[in-house]
Amino acid sequence: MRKIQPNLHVMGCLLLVHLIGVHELCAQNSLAYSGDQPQVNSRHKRAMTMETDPIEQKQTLFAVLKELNKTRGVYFLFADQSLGNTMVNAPEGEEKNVERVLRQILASAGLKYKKVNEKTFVILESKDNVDITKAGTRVDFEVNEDSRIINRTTVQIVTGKVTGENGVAVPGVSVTIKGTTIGTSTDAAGVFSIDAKKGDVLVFSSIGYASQNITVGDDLSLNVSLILGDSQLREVVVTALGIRKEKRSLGYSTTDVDGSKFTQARETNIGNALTGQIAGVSVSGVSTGPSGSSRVTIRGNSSLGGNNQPLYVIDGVPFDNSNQGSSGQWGGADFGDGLSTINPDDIETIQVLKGVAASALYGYRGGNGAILITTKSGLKSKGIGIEVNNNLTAQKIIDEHEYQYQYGQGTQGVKPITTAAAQGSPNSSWGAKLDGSEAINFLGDKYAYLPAKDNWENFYQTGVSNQSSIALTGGNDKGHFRLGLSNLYMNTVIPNSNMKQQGVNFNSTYNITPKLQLNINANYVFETVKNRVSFSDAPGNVIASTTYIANSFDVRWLEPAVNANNFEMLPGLDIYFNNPYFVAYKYQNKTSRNRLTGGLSLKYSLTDWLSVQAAVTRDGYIFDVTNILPTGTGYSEGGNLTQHTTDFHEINGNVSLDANKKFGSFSVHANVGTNTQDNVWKQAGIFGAGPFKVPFFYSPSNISEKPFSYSYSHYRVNSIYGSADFGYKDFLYLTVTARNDWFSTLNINSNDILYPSVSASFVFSDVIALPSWISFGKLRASYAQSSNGTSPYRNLLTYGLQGYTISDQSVGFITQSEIPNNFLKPVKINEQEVGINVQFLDNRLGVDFAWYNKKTTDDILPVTISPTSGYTGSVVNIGELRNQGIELLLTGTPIKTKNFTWTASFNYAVNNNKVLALSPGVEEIVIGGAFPRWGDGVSVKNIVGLPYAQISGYAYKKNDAGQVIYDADGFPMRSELPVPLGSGIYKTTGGFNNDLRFKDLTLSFLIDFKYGAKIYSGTNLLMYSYGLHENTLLGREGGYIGPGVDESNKANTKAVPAQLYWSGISTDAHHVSEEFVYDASFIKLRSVALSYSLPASILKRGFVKGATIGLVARNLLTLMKHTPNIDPESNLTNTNAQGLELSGYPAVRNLGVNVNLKF
Amino acid sequence: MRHKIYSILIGAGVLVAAGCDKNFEEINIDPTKLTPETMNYSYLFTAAELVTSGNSDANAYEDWRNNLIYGSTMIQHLSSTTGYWAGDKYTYNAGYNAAYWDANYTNSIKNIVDVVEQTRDNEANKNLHQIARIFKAFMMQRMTDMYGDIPYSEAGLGYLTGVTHPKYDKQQAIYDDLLAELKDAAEKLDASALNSIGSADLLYGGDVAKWKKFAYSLMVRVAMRLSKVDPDKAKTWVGTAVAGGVFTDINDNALVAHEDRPSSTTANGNAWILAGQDPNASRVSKTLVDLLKGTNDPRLSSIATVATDPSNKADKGDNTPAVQQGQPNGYDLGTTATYIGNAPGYPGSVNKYSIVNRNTFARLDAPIIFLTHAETQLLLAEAAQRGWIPGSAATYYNAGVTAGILMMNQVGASPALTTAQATTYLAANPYVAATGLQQINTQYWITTFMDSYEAWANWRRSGFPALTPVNYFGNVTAGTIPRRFTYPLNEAAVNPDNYSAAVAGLGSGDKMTSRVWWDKP
Repeated sequence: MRKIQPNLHVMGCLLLVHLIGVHELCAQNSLAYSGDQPQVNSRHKRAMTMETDPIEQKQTLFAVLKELNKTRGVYFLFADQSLGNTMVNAPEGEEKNVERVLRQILASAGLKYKKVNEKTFVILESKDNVDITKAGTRVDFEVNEDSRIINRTTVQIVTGKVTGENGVAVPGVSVTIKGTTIGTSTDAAGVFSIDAKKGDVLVFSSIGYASQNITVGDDLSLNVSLILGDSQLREVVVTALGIRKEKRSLGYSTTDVDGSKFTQARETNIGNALTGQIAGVSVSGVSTGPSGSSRVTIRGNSSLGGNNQPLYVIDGVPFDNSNQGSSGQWGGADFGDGLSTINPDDIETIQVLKGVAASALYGYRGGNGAILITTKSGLKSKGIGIEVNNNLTAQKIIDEHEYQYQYGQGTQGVKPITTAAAQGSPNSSWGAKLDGSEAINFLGDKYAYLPAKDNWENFYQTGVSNQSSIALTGGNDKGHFRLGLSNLYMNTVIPNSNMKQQGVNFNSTYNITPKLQLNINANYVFETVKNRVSFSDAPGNVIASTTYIANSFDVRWLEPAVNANNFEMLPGLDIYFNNPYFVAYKYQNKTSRNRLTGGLSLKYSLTDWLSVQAAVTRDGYIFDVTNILPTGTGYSEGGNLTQHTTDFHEINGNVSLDANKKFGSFSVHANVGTNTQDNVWKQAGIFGAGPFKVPFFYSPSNISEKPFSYSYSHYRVNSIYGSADFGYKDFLYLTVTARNDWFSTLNINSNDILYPSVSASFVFSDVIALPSWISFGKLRASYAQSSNGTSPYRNLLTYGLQGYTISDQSVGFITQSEIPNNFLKPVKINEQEVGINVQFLDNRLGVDFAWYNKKTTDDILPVTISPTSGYTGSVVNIGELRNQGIELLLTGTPIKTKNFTWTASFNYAVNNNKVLALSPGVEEIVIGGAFPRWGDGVSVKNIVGLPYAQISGYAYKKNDAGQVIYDADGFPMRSELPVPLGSGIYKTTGGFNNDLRFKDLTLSFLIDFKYGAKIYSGTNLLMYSYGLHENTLLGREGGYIGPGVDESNKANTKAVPAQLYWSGISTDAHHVSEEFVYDASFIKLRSVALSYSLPASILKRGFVKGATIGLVARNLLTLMKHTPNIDPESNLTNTNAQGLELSGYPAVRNLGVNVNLKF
Repeated sequence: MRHKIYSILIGAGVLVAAGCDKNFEEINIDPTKLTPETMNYSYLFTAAELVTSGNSDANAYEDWRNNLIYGSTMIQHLSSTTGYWAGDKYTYNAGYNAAYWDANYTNSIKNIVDVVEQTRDNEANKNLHQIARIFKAFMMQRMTDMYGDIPYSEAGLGYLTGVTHPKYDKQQAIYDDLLAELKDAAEKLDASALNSIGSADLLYGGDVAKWKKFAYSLMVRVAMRLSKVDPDKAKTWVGTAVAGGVFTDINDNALVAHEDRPSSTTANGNAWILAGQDPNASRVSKTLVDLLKGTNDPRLSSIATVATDPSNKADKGDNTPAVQQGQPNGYDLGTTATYIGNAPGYPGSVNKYSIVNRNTFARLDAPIIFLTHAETQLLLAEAAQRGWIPGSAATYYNAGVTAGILMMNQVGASPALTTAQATTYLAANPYVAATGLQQINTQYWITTFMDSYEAWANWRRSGFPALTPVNYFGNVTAGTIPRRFTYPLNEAAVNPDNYSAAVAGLGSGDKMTSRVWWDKP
């Protein structure tokens, strides 16, 4: 250890005092505090040399000393900072001796100096005899390599490594010496080195982490662990259109989630990984498996019939997240969306712009909020950095079924004792008592009539998923790049079903000239998915077969899959009740996706405060689907083929001008620009053509009829926008934005609309004297207007010709199923928001609260009309909808010791949604496609006066005492018409994130919860119908007498055979929907990750710069739920029709290992 | 330099702003679609005819549910042991009940209404306009016969007049209008005008004379439906029809030729199900086979065949009359007393029961039959029997039966049936006035095989043949043959006022046991 000079030892304490009172320094200083990487600020430099008073020929002492610092390499401390403002005479001549110069200029000002060492002096007032070890302010001057003037005897090289939670190295962390502009940043391996002195306070800051101060002590090798946090202090965040702003200046709510949150216990679909992370962001579970889509809504649903999902922007490129196809009432597979192709390892941060004010600059696209994904970029570091990550997980089904196992296969209490009887009842568990006696199965084989409890265990397999990523980073003083490569392979829990994804992510910045900067980013993904599962309706749905097969039917009897003629070996005579092995191994479903999302931008700095930027971005994909229903399929013996290609692209061209200037206490940041969005979608191919002429040969050439279908859609939106941020003294901010959009989709006479926004932020903690335990406080408020998209071709009736002819005659049709409307205008979404953010106890505890009121008017909605009008909907422009709610975020570090830290964040949001108006005279509309496969009269509706997505169905008819009334046949009576039975949208959402770090070991876990939604369970309905549900045990012997009254209000005494009763109320004329509506609230232990980072001391000399290994788990436990037999998050689709469930992908538990290495 | 850059920027901004909606109108026209200006409405008429033949979605959606699953089995042309063939046992499936309505209002009815309205007062399309009116009458009668009061006057007009919640017209009013429409349209057909329709008309190639006969023959069907509820009106309109000129032979039959194109809307929907999608689900009913066998009806071998394994679609079976055996209605494949093996005379295997002949009615390119000379003659026989029109009931009857036998050749009977066979059959089963109505309507029941809509409607009107209903575990009609289909549940939700009014008019509710207006006990 070096000997430390005592006089410098105390410098650290001195640094807490304000720096010198030169205005221009404020901005500079603040950067030092902030966590932004220090930059050479030319404005600052100039200010320094212009400190001359032209009249008196005097200069500030500060300016003089600065010059000395520059020319002589000496260093000064002030006993009192104000001394720097003293006007002194400029030094005369070329005096070489520093002390002589000092004496000359200080004497006249009543000051003196004291020499600390050869190169360091303290400036004091003459009368003072200050102990320089107790008070003083060090002046840190501009530092650049050649004029660096730190006393070599006292400066040492401090090195170390910065890691985040789980011990993963954090690159790009700004490391500065507090109170100075001296700084550096960590390289790809999280390693830094900085010249500092003992006692210097190093400030480590990085977006997404709470900044941390460490005083340099004896140990010159530091290992720093950053804690995720939401430090409002000086964090810079990405806002709409990629404009970076200080978080404190924002008058609206925005939350960022660090990329590392997605890399450990990962989800294939990034959308699903957002669940529980952010207050007000609700991710609906969609039970379509790992290759399926996600549904993310922010602050509720603000469109009655249109899109309710936010705009996704990746590195400035608007990213299409359309679902490529989902299952409806009659089945079908979920072909996934855009988010499933994003590799979590490439994500630097995800910024969620929640409110309309935050996303107003996106114009009509901002109405549902926006999610900005920033991928990792290279750093200005020398050499090549390599990072390797591997995530290996195993998946296992969580079987939530609780079947009755008392009565087995059969009907009306009789077990099958003939082959025919067995073939007639493969999915009927209405047989006799399971007593182990002899029964006959569908093959004619004898078996012991006993429960077959392991059907799920026997059919499903353990899924394995492996995602490997490698990233190369590099750069020099002209630019930097990052190249990320990834490979994902996933064998799902469904036999013979897998997913492969290869991705390339490239990000580069290059300074062509000092004023001209080029940015290029590109993300290419190639994905193939084999055998996506079909949902809802039974055919093609392995989950349906395995769920509803009779409880004494051993699924392995079906394992051969085919008969002697290679046709489907059906479990019975019902051709729609599949053999799951046949579906898994013989059906073929393949999709492939080639997607390139990229942007190119050139930025030219006209002056140091004005720049112009031109950007072109393109997001495009080709999506191919091949779906083969093979020869010999039970319900379609000839088989058929669907083969089509979707070709999508969107191009955005953008030119903008950006000005950033300070005028005294005021700062202005203005941006104006234009944007053209051009969106083209094409789909061509054949849909469901068959049968195959030569059996088992699956090619379009083998089908006589293959009508070719071609669809096309094109629209354009042109925009002009502008924004202006005004700041006053860094505590008061006002932002005004406006954007005007012109739509090709609307009537040319009324096709444009202006979207304004205004927001304000007031950092009151900078102005008002607050108790010391309050470290930061900010109030914010905003008002904004936005919109939602419209589809093309909705204003004119058009005709088409079918892809087939009859007797060579073309067949026409009217293309629209919704009545076109030539008077449509854009939807309006208005939102007011107020919020407060307060940090306590030096940011150990933070509270962020927001209240918003979001109202949609002129909503374009397809009002469900009577199909007897010829149309199923009429497009009108008068819907009204309101979302009101609160969001609360608590962040804190309950425990912080040297070796152990516990950080936690708790988010909670309540959204109250109400449909205010539909079309005049229309009190309810059915949400498009929101019909379940089973349950007469059930649909999901928007009803005036009620929250979004009401599950509508028949309720029990009850007397005044609340007793169910039964009819003369003993069946429960039901409401005359379907009635609302509750909303399918969760009202309350939240999550509880925890990181417990003990030395190099970190344990993270997320508990999330949702309350206040209902779900209509088709699975439970079918389990009633098929006699599998435990409730159906009632009345098996002697019939079931419903508890309640008869029509004359006397106790019901009529017994109904159990099979008739339970299958009656589930599916046929006696159907009572209410029985199958459940409270979908839940609490889940969503993810757990335990990671260990190899300490830097071990890695120090090696080739490897960082290594972390983690044990990860996802969907570990459901802590609370009210839905028997199903996972409460089992929505059938990601459409607006939330609240319907049927035979979805089983909940899957993931366990795995994550390894991260940095070189 | 700097000024230059500013000017360029400002200039660019102005340009973009000025051109903000350039080309927008062009962009917003779908290049793959026709506009009202460029549309040929004959093609839309083709669509209306084709879809009315029952296979709207290439999977015979409504045909399967209403014509086969319910219609054919309730009327005991077919029988089924398969659970979801709900008509065999009068169990309830709301979606199946509503299938025909669901498939047609947004398709064939939307199209025909558009043709009628868009060709109104259009000289070049004047015959297309009248033909479309006539065919619309055919479509709407079938719909109202199934459901009762239905949206009629305001149906299909969502775009044209903005009616989004059509009222349900009273069936009585609909019938009045159907008759008036048929008369008016038939009279306005202009034989001298150039045929602008041609092959777009799948029934008659735009032949105006044939359409005139179709209009008056359909008038007979419409009028006779009123035999119970308004005999006077029935009599008047049958008279008008005869005077106008009805079908003269089977060549006038209204048939839509289909094509052997599996998985296509152009395939015969019945065949697509019976010998395609659902080959093992149904058998010919014992009621029909016994009747045909008992009278040595030459049509038996055209209707029925016995396959070794019906699920093998290539198995065309043996259509020798002697081996035909009908399967009784009301049985299942379960474990209880209603198990088919317990049926009297069970032949040991369900495969011994006859299926629909795959060389005739269950052939993909077999025609679908809308209206025939045989039906018209039989109805006229009844009119004559009732004394509403002059002429001999027996003559009409004989002509009707003969036409019914010969039309098997149009469906593909092989070997072809001959007039001599018809004569033999009539000699063995002569018309007897005392049992005339029973004979006529039993013949009508036979001749409407595979047109369950018409067979069922005429059975409800006439009560012949007397069918023995089944009474199965869980049926919803208390063991009676259903009298109508229920409305789509969706209507209760989206058109509640009009729906409720219509249900109120049914008296006993929206049930399969409620009767439509003309269906008097």
